[in-house]
Order: sequence, then structure tokens, then C-alpha cells
Amino acid sequence: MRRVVITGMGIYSCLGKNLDEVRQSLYAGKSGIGIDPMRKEYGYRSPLTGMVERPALKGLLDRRSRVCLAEEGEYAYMSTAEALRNAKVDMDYLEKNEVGVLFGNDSSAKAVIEAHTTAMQYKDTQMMGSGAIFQSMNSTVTMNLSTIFKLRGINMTISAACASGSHAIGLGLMFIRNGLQDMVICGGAQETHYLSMGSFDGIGAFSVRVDDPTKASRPFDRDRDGLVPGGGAATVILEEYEHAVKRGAPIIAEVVGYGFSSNGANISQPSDMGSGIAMERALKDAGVLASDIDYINAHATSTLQGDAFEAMALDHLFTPYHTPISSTKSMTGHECWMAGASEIVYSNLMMLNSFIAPNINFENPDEYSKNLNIVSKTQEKNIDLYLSNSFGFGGTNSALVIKKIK
Amino acid sequence: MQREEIIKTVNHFLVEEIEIEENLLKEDALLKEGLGIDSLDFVDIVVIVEKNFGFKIKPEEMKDVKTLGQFYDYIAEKVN
Amino acid sequence: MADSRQWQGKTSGGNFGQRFLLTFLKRFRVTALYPVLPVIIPFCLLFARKPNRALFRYFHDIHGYGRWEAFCATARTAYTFGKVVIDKFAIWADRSDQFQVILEHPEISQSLFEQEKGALFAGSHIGNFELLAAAFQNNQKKINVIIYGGESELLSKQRSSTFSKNEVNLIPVTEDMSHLFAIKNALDNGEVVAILCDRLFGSPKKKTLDFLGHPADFPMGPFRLAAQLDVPVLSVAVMKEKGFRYTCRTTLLDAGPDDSPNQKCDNLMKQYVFQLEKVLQQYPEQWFNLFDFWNLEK
Repeated sequence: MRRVVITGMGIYSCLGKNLDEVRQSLYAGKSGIGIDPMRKEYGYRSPLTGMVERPALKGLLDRRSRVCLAEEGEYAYMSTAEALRNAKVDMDYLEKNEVGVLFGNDSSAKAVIEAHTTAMQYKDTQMMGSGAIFQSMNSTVTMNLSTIFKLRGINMTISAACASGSHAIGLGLMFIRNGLQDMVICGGAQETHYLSMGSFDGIGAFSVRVDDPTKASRPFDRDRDGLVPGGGAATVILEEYEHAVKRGAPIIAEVVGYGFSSNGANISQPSDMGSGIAMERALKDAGVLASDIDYINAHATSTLQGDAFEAMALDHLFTPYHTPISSTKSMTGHECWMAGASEIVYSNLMMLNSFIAPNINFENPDEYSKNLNIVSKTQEKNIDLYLSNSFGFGGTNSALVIKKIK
Repeated sequence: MQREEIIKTVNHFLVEEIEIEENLLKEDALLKEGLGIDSLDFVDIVVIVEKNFGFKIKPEEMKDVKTLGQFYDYIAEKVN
Repeated sequence: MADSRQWQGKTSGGNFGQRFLLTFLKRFRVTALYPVLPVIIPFCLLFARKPNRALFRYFHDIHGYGRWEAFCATARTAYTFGKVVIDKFAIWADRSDQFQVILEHPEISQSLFEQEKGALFAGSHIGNFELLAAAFQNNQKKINVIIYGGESELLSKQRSSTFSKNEVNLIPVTEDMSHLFAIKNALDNGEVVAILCDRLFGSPKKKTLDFLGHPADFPMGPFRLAAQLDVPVLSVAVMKEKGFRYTCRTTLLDAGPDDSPNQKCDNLMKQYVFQLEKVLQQYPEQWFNLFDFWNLEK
């Protein structure tokens, strides 16, 4: 009967480089979407992206650490450092106690491409440099975080497409509930460099509303025309409740439910059945009913079909209760491997500050979202319990239920 | 290339790119134990040397190069 | 587990007191007796140490009140409990007509009364469970209420007589567990069985669940039965408001149609506890399990 709580959070995204900046952006309904001129040159159909500033790590980390970090690893370092600080966990604690790391990440394209380009240029693999291998692997984030923070617990990366960050938290929950770990650093990271998103753009998934970038990401809206990619990193520190109390740690919220499913169908399209099952499982795991949920942070990426299927599932489960719903992807774009974790951070900020961040650009519903209570303007509301969804390519679905600790 | 120039170039990249403290760069400093250069750093040094001096270090040739002074000499031999 | 009449046993002063209350309340409204409480309650607080301490710890350790706040809340709860006990006597004296019970979302329970299947109404020792029957406008199904016995013969008889008039059947819990057959039969017949699910009785099968932030034991029995027989479970709370008013809150629990009976039982128990927590967040001073529910003294 071990309870799992969140004792620290950190964020590095297009909405801000720390919790405070992000909270303000969420409340103001501010969009972090812009245009990357490199994409136009490279041959992208859509140059739109969440604008994330590369962190300046010289001075914060020694050279060896920096050389091994890929772009998404740099973001993960920033968000994790903030989370550990907030959780009152210092290097001394990490050296004396076993802490695990489970991060969501599903690519490190830029590193691979750059290493390849160097090899082609010099016809010599040695010219790739010492950091290339450590940056190129999918597990680059956890590999580096565990080295930098001296972590000695569970150490692995969860790759589940756009549900990676969410599944990472779900797995952290399971490890702690089962008594295998007392503290796990969970999160998600996403590279944003133009080299990493080309093939995604190539299937025509992105919005081309170039004349008005901040209006391009419009989840659930009738006039949506595709998603806008984004990225950065988010970290949540999961800890066993008694352990946290004994340590005098600040307790932010409790993770009470995790549900998952797989569609077993189309590789790129979600399914209302599959999403519904994940959500129901999360509710059951938490011992709550749909009517108990105060807010839903939807996955909704602003794609035509994706949003429609999710709307169907939400309609089926929640419309009788008029549960307020918003997708923060309207402001951040689709943060992909990071999204599941970043949306927990965003939703926690809302819960702690009693407001619902808007699903901006929701101007006209379509036939699927017309019954849903989509919050399009910031709303002051007390949230005690919320549900967060993440659905990924290959039909992987994840849902988390988080409760306020009073 | 004069030995002076070689020293200047090597010291520059050791400080700027490998981030070794300047006051440690003495002729008799041991590369591994004194300057803390490990095998991974060495990989990067091979790349930098190639870019700065136009030749590729062969690991077998570095077997007897133990100090910074010997490193300067090795490079001098290769470029001249 | 402590008998639910423990507190009352000290206040009613035996058969004479009970007889007096029944006779008095048949004639007069409950508000005639409420003013007596502020006189009696302080004595009870002084002498009924165990219930007093249990309530204090409930407010201080579980809800996190400060010591003085917890003391005041204990006193207020004792007062409310006193009023509820008087209300119960009035109900047994067949004067439940003086109470106004407002049922929230009547359509939820209505659909249960209209379907053929039986249903389990899961209550708790909060508010006033005796008003359950009065809460529902129902003449379609028989309601069976599981009671624990341990009352005086006078009260038993009186209660049976009143309730049978209103088509409510009382099923006493027996040592040989034969009441389980009675419950099963009632459910099989499509009747409603109302049972208090926050006390262990007889069967050792229990589950430890997190309740208001601390582990507490709950009986598996009623929920297992509902899961095995596949009957809907409605959590019910009848909470006292000002004067003669009560609010009846119901929530239909969701066992999960595709899960195994064990998993269903698990789902139901977790949901029952969550809904109980919700009610107590709103009415913390109507918690009437006047004993060390969370085993804090250990």
C-alpha cells in the first residue's frame, strides 16, 4: 500500500526555462510557437516549431559531461537540476542514497546525423569525436543523467513515441509501489533541432499556418490543419510517501492512477477504443470515477484524425459530467517524447495555483468536440484530481490520474 | 613549423577545447596523470590535431609519448 | 470492533430512558429535545474517554487540526451525534415524517429501483443511515437493511415494527453467518440490500486501504458479494443539515464489467473509500465511528 508522491518538478520548454516562467505563460495563454528559418532552407513543408533556447551549460557542467550530452540531454539536465533543487535533493544525498531514473526519449537524430556527416566528410570514424556515441543512442538522456547525478537505482529510457514521458512516470509509479525503489527521477526529453523533425514533416503531419504561427496549433478546433512540433524537457521526482515525509520533502501531489493500452491497429492513427481503455484503467487504478475528475489535460495535438478520436473517447466517458478539458499543446505545440511528462508539470502548476490553462485557438468546435467542455480562456478553478492523456504512434496509450495533497 | 608555434597551438586547444587549466601546461607534465587526459579526451585530441595540423595521430606512435614536452616533439616531427 | 451503540448506551440510561424517548418523540418534534444536549454532552465528553479520544485523534491526526481546533470539533461532533441519536429515536417512533430528506441526483437511484436486478447500497457510520428508506421515493423494490444487533429488546422490537410498516426488512447479523444467505437471497430476488461497509463484522476478510491519508481496514464481504453476483453498488450518505433537513448523496460505483471478481471487488472498495473521503471532506463533523478506526494507538 505504498503511496507515490511528487516531491519536485522542473521544466525547460518553449513556455519558459523554469517553473515560474512557465506558470506565467500558462496563465496568460501565451504561445511558444515560431518559425525556424533553417527549416525553410532544409526543405521542410512547414517551418513552424516551438522555440526553445539552447541552454548555456559551460560553467554549470564540466567538459566531459557536456561533450556527451545531446541537445535533448541538455534540456533534461536543466529540468532535472531544477526538480532536484525543488525536491531538496543535493549531490550529497544522491551519493548516499539509491535513486533511479526513468526518462522518456525516442530519438537522438541530430547526433546521429552529425556523426554520419563527419564520417562521410573525412572518410574516418575517429573524426566523430568522443561524445558521438553517447549522444547518439536512444538512452542518451538517462545515460548522462545517471552519470552527472551519480544515480544508482533503476536506469533506463522509455521509448514509446508520444507517450514516452507519460509511460516513464507510470513505470516510476510501479517501481515505487512495488517497493523496488524509494525515489525515481522521471521525465521526458525532446530534441527540437531541424535535423530531428524532417521525416515527421515528410508525412505531412505539420500545420502550414505560416501567416500566424501562434494560431497554428489548434487542438479540437474545426479549422486545425496539423500539429506543430516542440520540445525541451520536463522532470518530476517521484517518491514513496513515508520516505518523503521522513525526509521533510515538499509534497506537491500524489500519483494515484496509471492506465495503459495498445490499439493493435493503424501505426499512425489513434483509436477511441484504445484511448478509452487507458483512461478507464487509470481511473480504476486510482479508485475514482469519471465524475470525480476535475480537469482533463488532453493529448490532442491539433491533427484532424487524432483529435477526433480522442474527442470521441472523452465524449463517451466525460460529457455527462461536463468535465473541463484543455490541451496545452495549443500553446507548446506537440512536445512528443517530452509531452507526457511536461503535461504533468503544466497540470500540477494549474492544480497548485487553482486555474485551468486555456486550450487557445479553440474558436469553433467540430462534430466530435462540440459536446466537450473545452476551456478556451483561462479559468480560475479548484482542481483536486486531474487526468492526463498521452497517445503515441504504434497505438501506445498512457493515462495518469494525479491527486492534490491537502 | 617552429616548435614555439606548435606549443602555442597545442596549448590553445588544450585550454579552450579540452578545458585543461593553463598553469598545468608544463613541458614535464604527465599527459594522463598530470593533465587528466583520459582515453575519451584522447579521441577528441586526435580530431583537433587533424583539423589544426593536417595529420592523423596513430595510437601506436603515441606509446612512448608520456609528457607534454614529448607530445610537442611528436607533433613537430610529424609536421616537419 | 466496538458496538455501534456504545456511545448511546451511556446516554440513554437503560430501558426507562429508551421508553421515555420513544414515547416523548412520538408526540413531540425532535427540536423539543435538542436543547437538552448542551447540558448532557459535556458530561459525556468527560466520561466517555475512548470515543472522545478517538474523535480527537480523528480531527488532530487525520484531518490535521490543531489541538484546540480538534477539541472544539470533537465537542461539536458530539453535539451533532446527540441530535442524530434523537432523530433516530424519532424515526423508530415512526415520526420520520418531520424530516425533509433531499435526494441529490434522484435519477441515479431511480434507475436502480426500476431495473430487475438487485442492488447493494453501501453506507457508512456517518450522518444518519436510518433515514435511508425515507430518502427514496420507492415502492418498486423491497429494501433490506443489515443491522448489527446488540440493542435492547425494546429498541429491536420497536425498530422492526416501524420499519416493517414502511416495507423495510431488517436482517440482523448473526454469529453463524446465516445473514449472508439472507443477503444473497434478497439480491437474487432483485431486492435492495443496504449495509454499512465501514466496520468489520464476523468475517476476517478485509483489505487495508488508504483512507484520508492513513491506512485503515475495510471488510471485503459486501463488495465481494456484489462483484460475484454482478449487482450494481450505490454508495449512500445521508447527512444532517440545519434543523430537520438531511441531504442524501448517492454515487453509482463502477466495478468494471470486464474484470475478474477479485479485481471488481478491489475496484469497488477503492471507489467506496474515495467517495467516503469526499463526503467527509465536506462534513468532517459527522464521522460517527467513535473508536480507533485507524489503529493509531498501536
